[in-house]
Amino acid sequence: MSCIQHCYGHHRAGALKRERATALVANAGATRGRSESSDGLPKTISGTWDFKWPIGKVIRFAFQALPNDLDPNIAVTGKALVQEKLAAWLRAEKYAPNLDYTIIPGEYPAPFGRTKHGVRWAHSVGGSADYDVLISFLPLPVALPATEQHPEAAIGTSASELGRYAERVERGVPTMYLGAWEGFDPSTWFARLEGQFAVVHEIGHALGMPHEQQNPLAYDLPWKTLDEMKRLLRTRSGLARFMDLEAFITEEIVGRWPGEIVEGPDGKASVRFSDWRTPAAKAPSFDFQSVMAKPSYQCLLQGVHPASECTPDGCSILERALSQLLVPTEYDLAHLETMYGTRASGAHTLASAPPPPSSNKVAAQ
Amino acid sequence: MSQEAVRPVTPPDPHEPHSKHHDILFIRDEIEQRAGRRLERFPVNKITGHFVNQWGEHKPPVGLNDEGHRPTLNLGGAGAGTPHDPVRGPALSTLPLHPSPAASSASTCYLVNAQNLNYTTPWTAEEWNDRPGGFDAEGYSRPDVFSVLIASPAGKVYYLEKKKAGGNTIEYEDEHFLFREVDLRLESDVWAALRNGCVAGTAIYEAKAAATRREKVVPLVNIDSLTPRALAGESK
Repeated sequence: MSCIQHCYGHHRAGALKRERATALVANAGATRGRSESSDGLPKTISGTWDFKWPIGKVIRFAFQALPNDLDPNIAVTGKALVQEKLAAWLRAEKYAPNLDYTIIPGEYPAPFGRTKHGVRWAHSVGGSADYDVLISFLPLPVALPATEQHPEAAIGTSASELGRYAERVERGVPTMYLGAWEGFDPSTWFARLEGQFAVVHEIGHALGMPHEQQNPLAYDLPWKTLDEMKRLLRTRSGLARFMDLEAFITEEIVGRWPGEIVEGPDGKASVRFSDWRTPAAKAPSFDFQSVMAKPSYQCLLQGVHPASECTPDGCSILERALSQLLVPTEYDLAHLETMYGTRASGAHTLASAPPPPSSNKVAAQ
Repeated sequence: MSQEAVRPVTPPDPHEPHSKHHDILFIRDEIEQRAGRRLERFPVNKITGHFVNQWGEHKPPVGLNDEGHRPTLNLGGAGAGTPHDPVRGPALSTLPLHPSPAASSASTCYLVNAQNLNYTTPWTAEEWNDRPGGFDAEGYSRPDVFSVLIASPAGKVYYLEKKKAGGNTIEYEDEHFLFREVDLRLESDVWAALRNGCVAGTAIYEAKAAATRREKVVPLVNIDSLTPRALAGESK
């Protein structure tokens, strides 16, 4: 799950309209188009570079303490798993992206109190250490208080801010939520495949990677109808009961990531101001070979089993797929290296990058 | 089609200089020599448009006959606003440090002239890239042409003009000059500074040949923030 908006109160002005959500799903089979202004001007200046960390950044990860009424082992296992997955992303043997991490010692104060609906508050009060990413292990759902800019909101499923968007979050408010989903035992969450996958996936978001199935360069996928998907998601759990499923499906699963597709000098499609690459999935299959495409979404495709066969303890597709996606894949690691270049004696060099546009070196007069 | 015929229309600026919405935030080092930074806020009363103190009381603007009024206005901007005498001058100044009239000893240290700033530019018009749905800003861009005067520390000023848009990556180098299009894909510091609203500041330019990272910090300016609007976005 990507940046933190799957809440019953949208962070941004303008909630998604029902008809737009329906249209996006209905048009999922439409032909992928390319756009480019006739004079080569970009239509807008925006892309995934917006949330990319500075090259060479050492991302500071901090943990939030848990309230005393919760099993302390949750944080112990959670922290260990986070560090294991961070190393898998950033210190893999064959890859050396120009990006690294460090763990801030100690913990941010545990949050306390609940909303009038009984949902735990997620934010710490006090705490002064500087960090880039603040991780919460509170069991979900949790709530965020209203601010001048945003109404009270809730986090209903695993979530993380995208890359350096974490810098825009107020101090003490977590930027990553890894706690157990509603209906699951928090004490054993990180022993489950879903819990482990959530960690490796959310860390990918924290490093600046959106969902791969939302890649604008991907083939259109044959999604089930909106109602079928909602039924299946409710059956399978993992999402809090109050969540706006229609908005979630459009924003997190089927909607294409915003971006202007253009043709590069090599004739390949690319997305302006973005790091999207040609997906690994060939033809309209869900085989993205990436931890940034949640394998459970495969069950939302036409021709894959109905909701009645897809339950938390009864989905063979999910279990098999999750077990193969507990560490970043070769595709993921290569992509990260492309995004940030490679570490080489403290400087960066391009690795596996597409050739730059041909230069037009002008001779000195 | 000629360049003029395809000149794009600039959307209306939602934050004109006379708008009542302009708070000022000031970042400086902590006063008591503690490590860190201090954030000061000078809020505007959104109804009256006046700056207020910490008790919400209106702070009157500097009066016509108050000390520093005339010298500061003349220092902080020029031009009567006529075609023959267009408005121009600094957007941001650090005033000269000597006991001359209108230097910092007489009026102030930092000066911002909103008249010489374009609040919204192509770099900030589009909202930050995010999942589909939600708020949708009206982004835009403009042709890749500009002119700029650059002052060196040696008492010289250079004029640089990019006359033509389009074409392949530009690079020009001789023993005196290097002019190069920056590959923004791995210059995320430069990209972020501009997308976050930097008018003038610094950023790490990774491709600069330098022995240390500190030496890779290079001044950065967003030309469109400063380009007089009549030229930057005429309606067709």
